Amino acid sequence: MKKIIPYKSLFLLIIFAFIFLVFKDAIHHQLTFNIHAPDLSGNGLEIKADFLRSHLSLDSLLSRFNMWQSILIPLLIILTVSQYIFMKRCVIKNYIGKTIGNLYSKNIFKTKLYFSCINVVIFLLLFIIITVTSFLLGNFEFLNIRDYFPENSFLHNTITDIWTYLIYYITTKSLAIFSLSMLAYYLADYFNSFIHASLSFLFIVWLATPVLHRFLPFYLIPLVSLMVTSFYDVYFWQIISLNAVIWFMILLIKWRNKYEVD
Amino acid sequence: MKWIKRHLAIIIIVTLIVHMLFSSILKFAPVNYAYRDVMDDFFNNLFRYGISDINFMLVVLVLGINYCAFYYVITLMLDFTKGVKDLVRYTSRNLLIFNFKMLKLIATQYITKFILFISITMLLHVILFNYQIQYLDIVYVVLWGICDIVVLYLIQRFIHVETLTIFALSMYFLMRRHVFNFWILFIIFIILHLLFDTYRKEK
Repeated sequence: MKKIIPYKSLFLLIIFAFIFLVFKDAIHHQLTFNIHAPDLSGNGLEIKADFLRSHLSLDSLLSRFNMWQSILIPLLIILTVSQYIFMKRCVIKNYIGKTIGNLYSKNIFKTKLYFSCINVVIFLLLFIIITVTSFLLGNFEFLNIRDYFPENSFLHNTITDIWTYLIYYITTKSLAIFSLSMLAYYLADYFNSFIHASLSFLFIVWLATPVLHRFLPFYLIPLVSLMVTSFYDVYFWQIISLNAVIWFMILLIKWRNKYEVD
Repeated sequence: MKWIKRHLAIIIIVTLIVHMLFSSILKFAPVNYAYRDVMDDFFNNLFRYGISDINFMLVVLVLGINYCAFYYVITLMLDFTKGVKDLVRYTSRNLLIFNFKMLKLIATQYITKFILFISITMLLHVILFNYQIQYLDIVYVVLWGICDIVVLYLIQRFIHVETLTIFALSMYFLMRRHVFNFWILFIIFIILHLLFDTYRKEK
């Protein structure tokens, strides 16, 4: 199955785009900083290294990642949607009528899980690259962790140091990416065409989020589940409700599209 | 009568959506943000603030407005990768005519949506924000339209994959300012490309 998937090299394109955008400031600083400038007080090389360390600190790298993920992760999901539709039409369709049992729908669900796990793995890869570089080269610190959670929530007491915060970050982001990509695949099942599925997913993700943000509280809007790590005063139930909204949409699509055969 | 009814409904819906979007831009915009900057920001200059000042909602909103306004153009662009281009190719005598036909197809589809969208935004700016339209604004908008058509033509000419088309379009919507500075180079490139195609064909 892995050999048939088309456009695998586009994964690399997205990963490199992420890495370039996250480390852009550090690269720009390293290339353009003048150590012999007359207004520097002290050793130029040390000042340059200090600035580089602050550019590569975990705080600034993760904030930059939070900024670009809202654009690039939906694009990554759309790439996997096109691959999912290809697999469904060209490979899994041949299971219909060949064996006893419901092998077709089982395999479709398996491919959905497979592709959403690919999205999560790419996120984890990027996250490992960011943390390792900031651990080795930059300031491995994250300021004001406790301000992200209100005092009466249990997250405030459990997430006290940087490692617990990183675990919280990984779990919330992975859950959000997993559920959003499942939503995209169910949309692909519903519309049965890449164009409608991808554009409707982009409308939900890019257009509905800022518009709904004016009327609804943030814990009822789908894309905010990706960005919840940059919000202040977050309760545990709000993180759960963000994913529950997405799964409610999936159930709605599934109910509307009960007897789907391509 | 049917035509008028249909377009009236579309205009009312688009006006409502655009009004909602512009008022939400003001919500997510940075501090000291004048009304005059809204149009400027949406059209081109998102990255003048530096990363730390931009709200990611604003970036997402710019993409969303573009996808909403030019929905039919984007679906046409995606259809080109699925064999619509072959239909045009069969009905044209040579490669130059084929290229001109593609350019005309994109331009006619784009310009109607562009005029609708721009007139509504201009009207909303005049009514809501008391914006005074100047001579340069109109020149700027016309140049912007030409730049968009040129870039859309280039995308359909060189990209043959649906997902890559979406990537390229969304990157273009975000980086429109940087492309817009060099739009004349793109036109020269297109003319050279058309000439090269005919030369290759004759040879």
